[in-house]
Amino acid sequence: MDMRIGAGIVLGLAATLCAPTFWTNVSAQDGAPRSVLVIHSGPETFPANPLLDAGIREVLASRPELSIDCFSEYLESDLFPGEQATQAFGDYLRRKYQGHRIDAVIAITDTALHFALSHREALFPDAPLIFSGLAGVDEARRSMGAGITGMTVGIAYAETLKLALELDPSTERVFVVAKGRDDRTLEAVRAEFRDFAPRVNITYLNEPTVPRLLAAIKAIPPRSVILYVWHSQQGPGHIVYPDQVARLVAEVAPVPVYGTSDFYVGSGVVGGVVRDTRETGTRVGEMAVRVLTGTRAQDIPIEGARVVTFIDWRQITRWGISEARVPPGALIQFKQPSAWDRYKIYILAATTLLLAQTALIAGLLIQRSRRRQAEEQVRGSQAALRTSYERIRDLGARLLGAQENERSRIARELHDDVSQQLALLEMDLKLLDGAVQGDPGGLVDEALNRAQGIARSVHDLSHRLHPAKLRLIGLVAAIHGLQRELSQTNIDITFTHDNVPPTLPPDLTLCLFRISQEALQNAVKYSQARHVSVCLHGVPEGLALTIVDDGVGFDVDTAWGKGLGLVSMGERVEAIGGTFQVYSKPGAGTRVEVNVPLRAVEGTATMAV
Amino acid sequence: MPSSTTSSEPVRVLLVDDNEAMLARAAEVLTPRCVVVGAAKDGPTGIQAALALRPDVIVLDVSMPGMSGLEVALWLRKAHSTAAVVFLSVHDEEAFVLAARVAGGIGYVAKPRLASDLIIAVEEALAGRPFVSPLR
Repeated sequence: MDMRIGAGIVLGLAATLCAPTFWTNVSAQDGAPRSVLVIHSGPETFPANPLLDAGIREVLASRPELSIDCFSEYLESDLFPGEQATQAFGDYLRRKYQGHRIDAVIAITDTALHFALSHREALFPDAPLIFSGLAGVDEARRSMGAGITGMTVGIAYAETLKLALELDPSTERVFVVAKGRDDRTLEAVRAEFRDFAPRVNITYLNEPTVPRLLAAIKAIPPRSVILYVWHSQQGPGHIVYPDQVARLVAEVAPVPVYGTSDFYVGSGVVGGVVRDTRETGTRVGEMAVRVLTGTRAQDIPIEGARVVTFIDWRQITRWGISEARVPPGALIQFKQPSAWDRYKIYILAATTLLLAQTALIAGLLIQRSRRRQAEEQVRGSQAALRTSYERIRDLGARLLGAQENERSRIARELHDDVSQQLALLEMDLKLLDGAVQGDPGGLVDEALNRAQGIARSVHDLSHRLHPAKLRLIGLVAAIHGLQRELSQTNIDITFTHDNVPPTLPPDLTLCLFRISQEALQNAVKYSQARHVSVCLHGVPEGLALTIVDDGVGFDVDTAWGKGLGLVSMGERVEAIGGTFQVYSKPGAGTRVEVNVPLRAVEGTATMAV
Repeated sequence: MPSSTTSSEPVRVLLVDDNEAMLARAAEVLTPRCVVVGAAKDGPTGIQAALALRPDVIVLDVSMPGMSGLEVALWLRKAHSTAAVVFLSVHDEEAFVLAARVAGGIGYVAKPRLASDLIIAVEEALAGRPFVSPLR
């Protein structure tokens, strides 16, 4: 350590005394800042240079303990060719970095390496050299001075053409754009493509200007590919870099364009086999770190830059090239994820939701249809029930009507025939009674009494069957008759009436009479009532009949099912559109309420009176 | 109002009853004091006969098929018939007697008592006095 410090001081003194040279020190002191100078041959704006610088600086920055300063300088020999410019650049560096110690020099491209080797003694005699270039240096020269190492960046033009032909085997012609500053580039390409000659027709587009190149590109026939190696147009005030030209070529090309540099990636070329410029920067930077940490440059083997196959996914899609043809291991860039890739989760979720909704809707529809069917069935059975109920009611009404008609017929028969005959018989017997002298045992009187008894029985029977009174003298008189007939010593029947129209429809008259008859008979027979009242009132809507007793009462629900009494009363009232109510409780008497409407037109007299 | 008659002039009577035997018996009872000018077997025929023959007395059966005697009487009163109406009925109830009076009848004879009561009822009717057979 002390030795090194000593050496540094001695060298420093020597440099100060001899000439304005850089301070350089191979074995840098720990903790002291180190400097790395990167010399590019091209301008700062040349597309590869920022990538290389970025790679280098990244590696250097990853070792902060080494405190490395990195400076980039640009020879720009393309723009400023000639020895004078080169010399001026050398002078510039010398003056600029006077007083700085340069610990390592990185030369980018063979041109920069050539400059560094030419000016090494004057500018940085003790700094090891690290290069990146096509040719590099002979092994023999590597241990000269502070040593040389670096990377050879090979060309892969043939591989790129091979890729192009693999992607589209039907290709017949290849148009190569390879116009460098001199013919060396073109020669190198020709050498590479020699083996392809029988397979495809190769044309070299050596147009000096971009417009002429683009015109030639536009004229390229189908079943061709363009292999873009390089095209630079440089003139005063008119500099176009090859990547810009690549973009212009790709824009107008009627056929796929392949490129041989990674900085063409994304400019519209389909793909190519290229070196990774940034990776080159990284590798060179790593070599610089090794050198700075004490490894002799000549001990670091020269590496060859790795090439990769890249494919621009957008372009193979554009030219309809199947992705299946892309060789394995190729780097596919700019692949736009499909809608499925991008929205897989959403699509799945939406589909699931949609399916769930569909299932739900289907379920609901099925349920609705089932419910409708059920409702239809219920409606059907309700209608059937109603029909059958109406039929039964109709039948009941008909039965009652038939019964009344038959009773009426028999009653009339009894009255019109039998009663008349009996009356005549009575008259005859009376005449006989007067004519017969000395009636033995009052035989004629007995016969007369018997005839009168029969007449009364027939009359009563006729009356019970169908009271002639109803027709002849009306409802009120008929109910009065009932009142009289059924009054007994232990039961008091009262009948009140008001506002009863003098003429009533026969069916209504009969209905109210029959209900009065039935209710009074029930009261007399079963209720043990002391008092029964019958009220018949004319009301605006019709007639209201109320029969109330103070008897023992009964359970209406139980009694309804037994016998025909209550049921037939209800049926009669319903048949003429009225209402019938029975209120009774055991021990609380009975109240029968009937309301019947009075129709304007005398109703359909279904029951004869 | 019944028209006044003299004993020499026979009383003109119209009989209305659906029972032929009864018609015959009534005619028999009334002859010779009265002359039976007509006999009808139903209400409408009776009305026609009454209006055409203009009898002094109409003997009218209460209950007939179709139009009852009560209705016939009401109808005749509406038609301004002057004949006296004597009802004839097998019904011997007060309600009927009352109804008969309301309908415009002046006499009410129970059929079993026809032989004894009809001629009296007719005579009384001619005199403008009511007559009702004793009820059982």
